Amino acid sequence: MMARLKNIISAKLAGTRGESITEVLVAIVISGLAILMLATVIATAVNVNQASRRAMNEYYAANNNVVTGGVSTTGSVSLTSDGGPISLADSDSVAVTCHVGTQADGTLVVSYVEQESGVTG
Amino acid sequence: MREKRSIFDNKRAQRGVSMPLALLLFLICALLASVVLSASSAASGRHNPVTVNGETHNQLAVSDQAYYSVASAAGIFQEEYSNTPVTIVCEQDKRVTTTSTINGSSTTTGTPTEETTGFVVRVDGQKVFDGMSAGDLSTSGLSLVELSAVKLAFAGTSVNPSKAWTDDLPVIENFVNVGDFDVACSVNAPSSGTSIDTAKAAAALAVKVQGKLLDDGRLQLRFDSNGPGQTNAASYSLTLYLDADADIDVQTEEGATEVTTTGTTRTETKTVKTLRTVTVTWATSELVKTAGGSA
Repeated sequence: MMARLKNIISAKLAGTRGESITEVLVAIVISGLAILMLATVIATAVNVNQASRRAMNEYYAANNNVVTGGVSTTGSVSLTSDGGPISLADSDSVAVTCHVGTQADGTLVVSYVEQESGVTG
Repeated sequence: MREKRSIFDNKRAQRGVSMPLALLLFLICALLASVVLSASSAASGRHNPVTVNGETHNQLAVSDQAYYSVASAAGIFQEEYSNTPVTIVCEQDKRVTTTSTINGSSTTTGTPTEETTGFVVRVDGQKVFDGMSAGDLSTSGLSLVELSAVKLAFAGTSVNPSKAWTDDLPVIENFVNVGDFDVACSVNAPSSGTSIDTAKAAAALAVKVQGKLLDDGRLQLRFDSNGPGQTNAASYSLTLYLDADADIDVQTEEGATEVTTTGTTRTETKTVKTLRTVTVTWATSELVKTAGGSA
């Protein structure tokens, strides 16, 4: 099979004949398919990028709360070791301010910083 | 080979090249398409949904939460360690006995013998050890900052009287394990406005901490995210290094001397109390992303 194909290609390359109308039409079809495929892929990529950019904008808009403190609440940080509590420094727990961002799908993004006033306990 | 080159080189060639050119164009288009699709799928991949505890979440949000959890915990530890100096006072009571032999007008004095009669360690005024042999610190009731300072002062995981009397900190061989800890943050509901699932918020903020005293005297605290979905691909880890500044003061107080004479033997006994005060102050050396950590 491979030998036969090789012979055909060799004969074609060594020959001096021009191409038949069939060969030209097939070449046009192949070129058309190639250009159509590329155009479709580029259009798809543009759509995907737009959707991605939109999702990123929404994501960071929701996450801004974590940075700017848009939705804030209080909390306390505590430590355990081998299941038992252990205080971090002077008191059993450290009072913190929590900043909360909620994504469109309900996923929470939370961070916290120590309250200026100090500790609870 | 000469025939193949002539297809493209000879301007007067009579042979057609439509098929090879069409195939070449198809190949180029296929390559370009794959590159374009790879780039756009990589951009959108950040928003792939991940399933955590049966719920679907945004992968980027889970990764970011791992970072926020670890960075928040590291910030709290930095503040607490930096603002909490620890004072460790070691008290040692010794009885020093010197025996002399009186022979006529001459007196021969022997080498004084020392016997430790008491050893007490107080941390920030609270007695944590009272004994003569090494004492375990795991059940001492100390805070983590105090525990780190005591382990630094004794270069080990136990209070060992033999290491208490140097003018400098004892040398740490390899490292000293401070312990493994879990950091939890309980989140209260906002007083007004948006309601949040406080249990989920608290779960997302879970962090594991591993503490070690290094042989250069620095305290290494490694923070690893430990919330739902944050332990595998979305994990994040930071390492905080703290320098210890230790101020050591040793004072000796001698008590009254008791003299007893039996025949030609004269025995002098006196009590000596030695106080070694070590004040440890922690300061942040550096906070770095853990080498080899993911995300």
